[in-house]
Amino acid sequence: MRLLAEAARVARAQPVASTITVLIVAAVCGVILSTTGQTIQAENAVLSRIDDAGTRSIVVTDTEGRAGMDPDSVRRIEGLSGLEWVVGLGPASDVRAAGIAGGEPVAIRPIYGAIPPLVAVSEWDRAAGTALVGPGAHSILGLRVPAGGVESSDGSSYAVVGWFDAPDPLSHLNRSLFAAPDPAVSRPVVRTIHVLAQRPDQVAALADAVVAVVGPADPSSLGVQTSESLAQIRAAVAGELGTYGRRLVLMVLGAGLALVVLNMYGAVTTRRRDFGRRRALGASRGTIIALVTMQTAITGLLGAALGTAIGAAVVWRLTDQPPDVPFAVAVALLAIIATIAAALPPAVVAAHRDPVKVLRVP
Amino acid sequence: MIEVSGLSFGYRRGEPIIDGLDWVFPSGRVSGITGRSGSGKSTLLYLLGLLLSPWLGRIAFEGRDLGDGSDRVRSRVRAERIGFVFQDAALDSTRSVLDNIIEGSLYTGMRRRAAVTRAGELMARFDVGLRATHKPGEVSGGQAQRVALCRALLNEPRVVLADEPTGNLDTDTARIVIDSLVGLAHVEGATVIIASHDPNIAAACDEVLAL
Repeated sequence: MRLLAEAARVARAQPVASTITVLIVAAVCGVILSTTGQTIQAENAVLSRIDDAGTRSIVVTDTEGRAGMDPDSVRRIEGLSGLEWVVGLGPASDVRAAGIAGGEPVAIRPIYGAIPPLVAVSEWDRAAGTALVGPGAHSILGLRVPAGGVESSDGSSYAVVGWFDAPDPLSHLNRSLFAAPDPAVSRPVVRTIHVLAQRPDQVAALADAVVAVVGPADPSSLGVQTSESLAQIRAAVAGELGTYGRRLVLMVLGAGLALVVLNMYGAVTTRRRDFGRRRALGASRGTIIALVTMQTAITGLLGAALGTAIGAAVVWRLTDQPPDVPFAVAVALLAIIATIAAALPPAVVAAHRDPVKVLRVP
Repeated sequence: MIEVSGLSFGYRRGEPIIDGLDWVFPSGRVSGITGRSGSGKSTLLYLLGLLLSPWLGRIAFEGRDLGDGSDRVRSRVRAERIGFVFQDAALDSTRSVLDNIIEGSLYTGMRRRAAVTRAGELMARFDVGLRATHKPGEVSGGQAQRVALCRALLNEPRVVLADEPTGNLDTDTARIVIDSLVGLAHVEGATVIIASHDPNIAAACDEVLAL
């Protein structure tokens, strides 16, 4: 503890060298945050836009009803790892609002499996003969409220008991109704299965696994749509921006490290007599190294705090977004570690100087 | 007591300054090292102070050979058992007189409070107590050397090594410093070794090694 206090005292006693170190480290942190920090924010924004476009979605369609997909397929797919949710939809049929002759038709599909958590939905007990209406279908059917009745041309009727509102990648379903599966149907059929992977890089493998689980009787009847190409673009964007950011960080850190080495080397050179006296008073080489390293670490800490604050303010000002806190903290820690590493060569030089040469008076 | 045997050292290969020296520096006595400039007085002092390692030979510190010990061990002995007094005081101009005196406690692990108490006693003894908060640049050369003496004695060393301790002092101040060093040996039983070409110092020593 006394050695740390002594290091702080020495840092204060060398205002020029300490200020230069503080400014170098502050500049390193500030430059990294205001350049790479912006790159990271841009990368996050681009990736978020790509993700919005549905990079993780898989749609399996039994186009001609010959693949043999059924509710059990949906349950088996639920057991796969790496998926966020899965939902199956039966064949679509046209319905019109009951009591409105010549009204516009909309599609109604039985839904199998849990409704995905991203779909906003009113309460629904899935009683047979009930349905939920999407906002587009609600408007087309001319319903005043999401309640009422719809009927198909073959005479089937459904009670509309609530609503749903699906965002991407299910937003196209908003122009239809979800019907509760009819238990009277002995062999229910699923025509479309929607799957969302947990990560974009899992899409290809998960699509293969889904097809394997379905085990189509006629593989040619099964259509699989994935966002694999989007996922590849996503990976390429992330890799490109990440590589650029890492290169920039390394270059700035390297330049800063070299400047700290030069500055500290100059500082220990002017203190040869100080180190000689300390050695005569009993300081070991290890103590001298610790002293110089701690002195530099203290100034590096101040510089990192100053530079991080300035860099974060710059990023906030330029992007109108708060800086990425984990990244800012990581940059500050990296700068401090680099500063300590930069202090070691001058510290070792100081510790190995011959004390007698500077203590002797000619 | 320090005993050297077969001691050889030089700064350049093949050019020994000290060559095969055998000598005993006993406790409770003042030993002088004299000789012309370049004869190796200061070099011998720094060898005895474990700041240099001999080419050959043995430096036994109270019976324990430390001539080629590890830096850690030698530093520990220097911090706890040896006090240095340099010709130009070698005070740190950035810290106060008091902080200069207690600097050595940083390397011995002595608590600051204990060090300050001990420094107070020494400053009173050498009449520099009123200058405790002054910086070295604000005290005279004689006072600075007495401050250096206080610093050397802080850890109650068994050995005091003084390199031309009166070189920059007037006669009266030089006498105070010499008397203090003699008192350390005769009263407190320390081993006091003074390197000097001053005949007055040689006269005050109990024995003299001429190089």
